[in-house]
Amino acid sequence: MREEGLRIGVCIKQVPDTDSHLRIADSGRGIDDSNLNWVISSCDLCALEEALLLAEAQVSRGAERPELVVFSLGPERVEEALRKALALGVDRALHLVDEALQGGDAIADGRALAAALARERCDLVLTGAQSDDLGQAATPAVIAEVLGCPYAWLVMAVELDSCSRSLRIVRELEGGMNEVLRLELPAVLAIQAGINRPRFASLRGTLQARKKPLRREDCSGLGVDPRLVGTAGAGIETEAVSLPPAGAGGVVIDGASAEAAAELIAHLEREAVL
Amino acid sequence: MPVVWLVEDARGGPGTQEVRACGRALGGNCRVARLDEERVGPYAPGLYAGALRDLIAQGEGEGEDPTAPIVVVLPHTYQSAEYAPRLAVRLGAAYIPSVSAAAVDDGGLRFRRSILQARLRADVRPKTRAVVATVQVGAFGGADPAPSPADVFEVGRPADIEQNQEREILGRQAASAGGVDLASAERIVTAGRGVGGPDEVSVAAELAAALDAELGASRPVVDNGWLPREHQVGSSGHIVAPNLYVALGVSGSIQHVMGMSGSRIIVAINKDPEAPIFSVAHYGIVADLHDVAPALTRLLKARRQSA
Ligand SMILES: Cc1cc2nc3c(=O)[nH]c(=O)nc-3n(C[C@H](O)[C@H](O)[C@H](O)COP(=O)(O)OP(=O)(O)OC[C@H]3O[C@@H](n4cnc5c(N)ncnc54)[C@H](O)[C@@H]3O)c2cc1C
Ligand SMILES: Nc1ncnc2c1ncn2[C@@H]1O[C@H](COP(=O)(O)O)[C@@H](O)[C@H]1O
Repeated sequence: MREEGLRIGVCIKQVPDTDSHLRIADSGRGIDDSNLNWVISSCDLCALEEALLLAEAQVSRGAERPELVVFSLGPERVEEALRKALALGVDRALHLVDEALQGGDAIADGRALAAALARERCDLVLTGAQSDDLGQAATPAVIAEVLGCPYAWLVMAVELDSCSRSLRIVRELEGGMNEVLRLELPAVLAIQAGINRPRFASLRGTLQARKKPLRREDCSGLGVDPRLVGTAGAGIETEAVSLPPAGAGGVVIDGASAEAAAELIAHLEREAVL
Repeated sequence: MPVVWLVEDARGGPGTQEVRACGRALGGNCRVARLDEERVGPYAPGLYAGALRDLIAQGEGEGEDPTAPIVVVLPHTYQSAEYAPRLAVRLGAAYIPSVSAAAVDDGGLRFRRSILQARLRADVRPKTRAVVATVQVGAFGGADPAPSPADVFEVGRPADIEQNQEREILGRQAASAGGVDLASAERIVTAGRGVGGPDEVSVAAELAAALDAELGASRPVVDNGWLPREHQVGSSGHIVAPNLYVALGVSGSIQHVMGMSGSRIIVAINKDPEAPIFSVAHYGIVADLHDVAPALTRLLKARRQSA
């Protein structure tokens, strides 16, 4: 066992709020990001909460409190997401911010994040299972591959045993089943929504967050080849984005609610489902 | 023409038809990489990624066009979506997850996938020669039964089996206590995140009662603790096919739709006219559910009293 306590890294992504109105950009290759409300992706809030719970559990067991470090790759606006994580109780933050890091896919971003996580020597890495915007469900797997360590996707419970440096986790399967696994540290866990209920930041936490360390890192600081990250390192290119086709032949009912309700009931009677 | 590897589980399993349909859409020069747990060993992400990498890297240079694209197609199941990105990294391939369509045209390979919680779709192209793609189960266009391609290769144990030690399986358990019979329900009314909060779930519950229906929930409703897990409909909950399915404030994500698209009549009430749920609904009302659902409940109760 190492002398120092454990270090847990949490990767968070800033995404457009699921309720924002989406407009396709003039280029047709993405969304217009000028008027969006940016938030921490929903599963990532659960990953943050799980890290805080693991730290609290270690303390209540009399073990040393692990250090919690939050990582995010993205433009300037991402700093706000990192400050929010600090306000929740994370100890320090790393912002991967560089023109050359922009526009990556899961493989490019996973490489950059893995480089930062390796530098910080994280024993355990927590991420969300799937981002609310690109939904690749792949960045943490790439991180695990680059770090060469065990990985589990869709994690619904975590127990950390710092003495044996091992984890007992519950992973979700299809159709309402779970499996229980044992992994050894270092490991990467992709946390599924529903594992916990994320807390809200307190006023005190928000004030303290201003004084906590937030470091910026670029490609050269990370020691990554700029050709392997960002747009240059991405294996895919988006050619066009579009709206899914509206109502595949379905009947749209209009009118005030009472009329619409009456019309729906008439349709359902004709369909013999009532 | 691309060389297409179709990754199939020896035991069958979900997504086999979609994987084959994707192979056909890509021109059909297909080989099957057959994964048999008996041969490869118990599943672990690094182990399976390594085993497939060995087979696919070996398959190169057998008198094939060395510039022909290589596509590896897997189903987007909870198992293969876990290790497919690791396979992509090992092959130096691009990774394109949960595709719903694929094509070969003048620009090369093109794949379509949903982004932003199915509110938009993106057409993407790989920039590398090799691609690993996973196919959205239950959502790949033209997934009619296709014959299995003739060239079947058995996946063997990878050269580097050290990776096998990466996880130990301790057991399996049900995710919820059970007790809600959604699978055999004739009618289901589902509360989505759009109901707004724990106290507002009653809007859905009252409509369900007026319809003699079971109460369903989308995943965020369960994750937020507004309803217990056993109410959840979708890929990680119940797969249902009632006569009537009423979705209140459900956006229509792929994982939700996978669980209910087999319903005979689907009704969606959502205030967003662009919500993807409307593309699977037979009847749609674009309105605030807090106006329409209580109106429906009132009319249904009155109708029952007069019957
Ligand atoms: C591996 C995995 C497995 C998953 N499994 C499942 C699963 O089994 N089941 C599942 O459901 N999800 C599952 N999900 C989650 C899924 O991706 C979506 O996040 C989820 O289905 C969205 O739920 P929702 O439609 O209720 O919420 P949202 O997507 O937030 O949609 C809410 C909708 O309500 C509408 N609305 C808001 N207010 C009102 C109002 N007053 N009146 C009318 N409409 C209103 C909005 O327009 C919006 O369309 C899974 C995700 C992953 C990654
Ligand atoms: N740019 C990023 N910065 C930090 N973490 C990220 C980033 N992109 C993805 N992640 C992490 O990887 C998870 C899965 O993302 P994705 O592979 O895009 O579905 C997210 O929930 C985050 O935890």
